[in-house]
Amino acid sequence: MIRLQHIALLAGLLITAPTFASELFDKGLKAANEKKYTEAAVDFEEVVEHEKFNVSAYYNLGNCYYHLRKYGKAIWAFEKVLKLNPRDAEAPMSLELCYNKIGPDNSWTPHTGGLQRLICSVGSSTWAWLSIFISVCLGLTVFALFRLAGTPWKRLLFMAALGETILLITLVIAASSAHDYRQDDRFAIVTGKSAPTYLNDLGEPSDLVLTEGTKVEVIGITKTRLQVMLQSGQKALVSADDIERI
Amino acid sequence: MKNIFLHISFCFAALQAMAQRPLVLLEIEPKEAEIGEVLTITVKSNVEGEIDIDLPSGFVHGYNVMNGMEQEIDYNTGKVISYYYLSQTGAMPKAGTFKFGPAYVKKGNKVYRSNTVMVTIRKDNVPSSSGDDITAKQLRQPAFGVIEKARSVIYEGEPVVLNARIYSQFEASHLENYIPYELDGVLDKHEIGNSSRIMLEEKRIKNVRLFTFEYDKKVVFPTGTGKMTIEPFKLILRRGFESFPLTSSGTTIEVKPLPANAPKDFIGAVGKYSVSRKIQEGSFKQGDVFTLTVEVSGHGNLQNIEEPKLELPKGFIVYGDPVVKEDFVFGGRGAEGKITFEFNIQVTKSGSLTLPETTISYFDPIKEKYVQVKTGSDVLEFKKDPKFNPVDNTKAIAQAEKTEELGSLRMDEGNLDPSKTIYGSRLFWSMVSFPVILALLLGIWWKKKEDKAVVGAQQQIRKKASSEVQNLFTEAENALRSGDFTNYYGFIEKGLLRSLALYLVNDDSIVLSKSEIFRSLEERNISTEKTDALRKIFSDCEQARYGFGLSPEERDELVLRAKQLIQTITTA
Repeated sequence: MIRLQHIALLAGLLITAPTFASELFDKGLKAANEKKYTEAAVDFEEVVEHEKFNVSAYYNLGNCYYHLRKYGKAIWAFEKVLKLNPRDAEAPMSLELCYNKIGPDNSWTPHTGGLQRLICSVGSSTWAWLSIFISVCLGLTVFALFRLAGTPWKRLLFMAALGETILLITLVIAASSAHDYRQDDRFAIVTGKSAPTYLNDLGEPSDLVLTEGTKVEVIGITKTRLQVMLQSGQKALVSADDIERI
Repeated sequence: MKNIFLHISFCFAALQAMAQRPLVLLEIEPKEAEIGEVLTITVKSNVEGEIDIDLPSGFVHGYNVMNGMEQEIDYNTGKVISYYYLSQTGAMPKAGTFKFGPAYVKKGNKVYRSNTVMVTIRKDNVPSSSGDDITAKQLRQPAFGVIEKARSVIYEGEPVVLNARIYSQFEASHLENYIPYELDGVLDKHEIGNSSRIMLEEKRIKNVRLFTFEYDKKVVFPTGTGKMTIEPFKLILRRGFESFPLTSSGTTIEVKPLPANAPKDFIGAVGKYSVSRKIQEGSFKQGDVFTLTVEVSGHGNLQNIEEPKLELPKGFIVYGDPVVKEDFVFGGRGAEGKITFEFNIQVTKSGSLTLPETTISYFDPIKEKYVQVKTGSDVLEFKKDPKFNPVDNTKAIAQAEKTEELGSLRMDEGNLDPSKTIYGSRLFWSMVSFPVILALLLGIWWKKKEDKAVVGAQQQIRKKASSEVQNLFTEAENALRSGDFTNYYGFIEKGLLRSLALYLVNDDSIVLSKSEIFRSLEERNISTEKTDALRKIFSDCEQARYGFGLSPEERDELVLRAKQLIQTITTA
């Protein structure tokens, strides 16, 4: 009986969760349209808590933060948009705007290379289906190779099978890379106006203070802080509250 | 003489004017703070030396001490000036107005002194718990925690100061595994005070002697209205090696909505504010862009205010978004400081134009009403510019604004759930590996089938050839019976050659020479006894055909010997 209740509760949660997020999304939109950006930001925050891959909610959240002049948080939200959808055309422009607002000399630097962005923008699903297609082609070639072993086609088929194998491996690597990119949360953004850094776990501060919007790579976790690496290669300890992982 | 004196005087005056005067400047931020709130003291000097600051008694030094050097260019003289600075943080533990400074820079025998700064320290915004809300059950525990709040009822957007207070019946050495209190719907929370340093106090609550300290003091800005629950904090309090885990009691805050019918110029500010503005100095002509700086200062939710709405008459166009400069710190009264909005305004008319006053409205939670504050109006003179074209100008503004625009809100929900991707699933790996494995299996099966067919065909040919060879020996026997001895020997020889060709090269149609046959038999390690027997049969056949012939017994046995020998060789 209890098990049945649990199942019913779980089913209820599964059914209501998207509706709840959907309602919140609409509420956030309404508030943002009325320029109540703080309220809207709270709603969109809740949406992304329920739907971690809702790219529109992240974009709108970034938009709200931008209007609230919380540029660090806006940068984080727009980076999230780019992470979920590397093909998003508006997010890079919004990021540029945010960095410009922090300081005229600031500009957005993507933490991924052009090739990686291209691979990720195609998406792991597309790469996966291409891999399956090439695998079928390879299967046919291998079978043909067996059948036409004693013919002049043998050399051509062998070359084709070799090429298809290399292509298949490349496609699987691309699918894996695009898939892992989404799961990778090494990079983070300083969301506050500034983030102090520490010399050790005891909270002894260092001279370095990270400014809003600074992109860091989380390279380790100590007992009370996070060890991060700046784009310059410098390492520092920061409080987990001061940064938001992309 | 007079001229020389004048020249010398001029040079001296110029040198004096150009010379770099020693500068020692003391700055403190903020100038109004609460007990325990972090103050940043900065001494800036163009003299390199030992810096010392006169600080009021009781000043608690913080950990943050920075010093360094920066260089600036004096655009009047073109000289590069080096400034040395020392910055340190700290807090005042008591209320009052305190004099900070002067700071001294000692270089050699000379000492340069700075200005002094008066700082007002207010009483803590969070009333220290009187102990009334502490229950008898809590007092019986070795350690417990409560969440202290400055106020229980606030208006939407109004800041509230919260802190964790820990009571213990023992002198705790340190705490660990702190999980902070949480308030739902709070986007803005800022740590205030020097919470990393624990200041233990001794108190008597309901006749129980307790040690207490505050921790994790924050100013928060709840969003939304209604009763909001603050979830308890958790930590482990330690006394040496003993540990006392504790979970505090929770609490609630009621957030009231702001009254309806907010004025049109309401900028979302809740607290106490003032507004001032500054117009860029200089003379302007028609089409020029000048800067109007509106400064909103005060305390409350300053960080969340919107830009003031400018009510400009015809002839003034606001060019793009304002440049926002924030200068505030978080304290017990929320965000305190100022925000300046730099509007770029273009004037399209000429003559004497009045720039009307800039007004803003904010909500004062103490008076519980909207308050309007405004700046004065200004009359500005703009010269006429005959080259100015208002049509081209409008296009240029539209273009410029377009490039500055942030993308509009997205209406559709774009849920890109990666769990929908096929990659990584069992189905994917099966679909990738299945065609190749299937092809390999089918290929191997096909190959085996083909090989089997070839072997079968070969066996068939062999069988046929073998029977043909047998026929040769049968014909030899027939020839023997009919007395045709020449053919008898011929058939035997032929039978031997073909059966050996079949055995050695799988093809009885190939004619092997006798020397090839013997070499091949040797390679196949056929015993010399058998090869000698074979040689003997061949020589007997030749001898019988071209020589003296054989005895009738030997002749009759020859075909049997040949058949037996072939059998022993091929079955070896």
